[in-house]
Amino acid sequence: MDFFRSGLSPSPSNRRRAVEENDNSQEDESADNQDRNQFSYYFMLRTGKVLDLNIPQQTKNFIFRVRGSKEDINIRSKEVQMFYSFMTKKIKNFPYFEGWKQESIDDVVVGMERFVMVNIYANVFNPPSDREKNDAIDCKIRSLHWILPKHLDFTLPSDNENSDRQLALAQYYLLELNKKRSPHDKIACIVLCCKALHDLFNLAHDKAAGADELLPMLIYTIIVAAPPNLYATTQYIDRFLPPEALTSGETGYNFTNICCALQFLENISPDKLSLSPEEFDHFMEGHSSHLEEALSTKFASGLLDNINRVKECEDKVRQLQSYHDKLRNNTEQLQVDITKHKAEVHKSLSEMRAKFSSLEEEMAKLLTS
Amino acid sequence: MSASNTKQFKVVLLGEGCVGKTSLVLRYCQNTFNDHHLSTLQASYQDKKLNIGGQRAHLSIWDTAGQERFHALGPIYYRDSNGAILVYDITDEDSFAKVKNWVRELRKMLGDNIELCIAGNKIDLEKDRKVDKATALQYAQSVGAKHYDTSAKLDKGVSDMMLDLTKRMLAVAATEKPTSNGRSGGRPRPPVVIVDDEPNTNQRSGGCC
Repeated sequence: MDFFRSGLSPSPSNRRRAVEENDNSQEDESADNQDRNQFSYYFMLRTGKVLDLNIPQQTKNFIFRVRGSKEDINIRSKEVQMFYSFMTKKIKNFPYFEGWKQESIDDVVVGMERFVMVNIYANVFNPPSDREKNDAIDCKIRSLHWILPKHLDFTLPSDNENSDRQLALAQYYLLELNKKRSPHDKIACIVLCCKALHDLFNLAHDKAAGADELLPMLIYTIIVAAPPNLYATTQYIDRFLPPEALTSGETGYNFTNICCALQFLENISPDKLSLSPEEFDHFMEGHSSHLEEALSTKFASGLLDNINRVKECEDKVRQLQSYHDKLRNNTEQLQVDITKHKAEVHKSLSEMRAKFSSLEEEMAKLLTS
Repeated sequence: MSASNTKQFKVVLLGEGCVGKTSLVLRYCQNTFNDHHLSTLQASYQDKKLNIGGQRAHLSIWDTAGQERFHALGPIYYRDSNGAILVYDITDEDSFAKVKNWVRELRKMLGDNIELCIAGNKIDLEKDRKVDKATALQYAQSVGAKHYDTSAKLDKGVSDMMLDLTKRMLAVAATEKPTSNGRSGGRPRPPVVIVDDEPNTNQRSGGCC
């Protein structure tokens, strides 16, 4: 019973190889442990009491076979799907599960599928045949960072803390995709992301969101979050999730939305963003639409108003200063003039006094004579 | 996994933005129109279970983005669908032209494997009608689709249309019964058939270790 842990959990050397093959697996350790626990819970513990030794043995053999397989990824996918069907049937016919609720048996089946996938993840995620396209789409998404909601014809509720939080949550789930290993966990992230966007829409609108509203928001979120390996992820889910999980239900619908968003981003063209080819190239060359947008917003125009007002004030102060200077000059001039006048007055006074005294003298002379 | 006598059908809603696709599906599945309390619902995907004369059908109704910029994504949405509802606004001729485009595309991609319904929506605005009713009926007939006048607001024609569509899908499913377990027209890629391949796996066990 214990052998799942010892025999099947990736040995250190396998782990190292997994790290080399996939840059993102360092952070997977805890997720991996969680997966293993869930498996133990659903599959090992529950079957343990009446253990059919074939089940662990066959699972182990199958995992090693896929790990060593050099077959095309689609053939390996087919083999995994066949193994799912085989094991599912086996679990369902297991005497121990008789009388169990359908949902509980489904849980056991999911546990089995997760166990298989977690153990072969590094060998089947983003296989060489996908890499070129995956990298190209990653680059494409990153090069479109300048896209704004208005290019996709929707508006985000503005200046709202809650809306920021919802958008951040949606981005978080997209980035979380890369940390999860089993297709079940990955698809759960996609569903949660779509749900967060749905809640975001409801913050600003009274009506329920339809695809017309959700798809543009999803595309925008992908651009903002730029989750790596998104193409490889969709391929992985498509290949390794049991098909009935994708063809029916909300899960399948949300997965289709992600595929649509990816296809849209892959084939993006100026007309799809209501831009002229020149504008599109302008932005693709690295001109920031955010700055241009920022300058045209209400906030920025308010800021510009204030800047202008400060400038006006500065001008006025400068004017006043020059008046003041002029006034001081004039005052100084006036003072100089006054002293000059004073001196002149004094001078003429003393002249007059001199003249007067000489006149007096002449008068006195005249009187005596 | 559904019970073996329940048929699973995928139905896509196609139509230009603002023709009322979302309202139609909410009217049908939740029987409401523009209800503010509904805002917590996801309107883009809805489930509906029906029982017609003892035959059970489970409809998954997929809303699609109708804006022109997303037109090219259509095939991803309607892949594997059993039925399509093409919605136009009777006060908007362009939306009817769009329906013709969709029909052409659907027939090209899926042939006759899909049942079509054309819904002339918003008949509560009859006075502003721009699309001639006779023309629309004639067109629907010419492409093998059923035409319905609907109003999500007044709850007219919506359930009739869905009932008829489901009946037709059930009829088609009955003729191609042997294909699979409850689903008509499975996903084409991985041909997963539940077969007991025990000998095969035993071989596997022998192969390794």
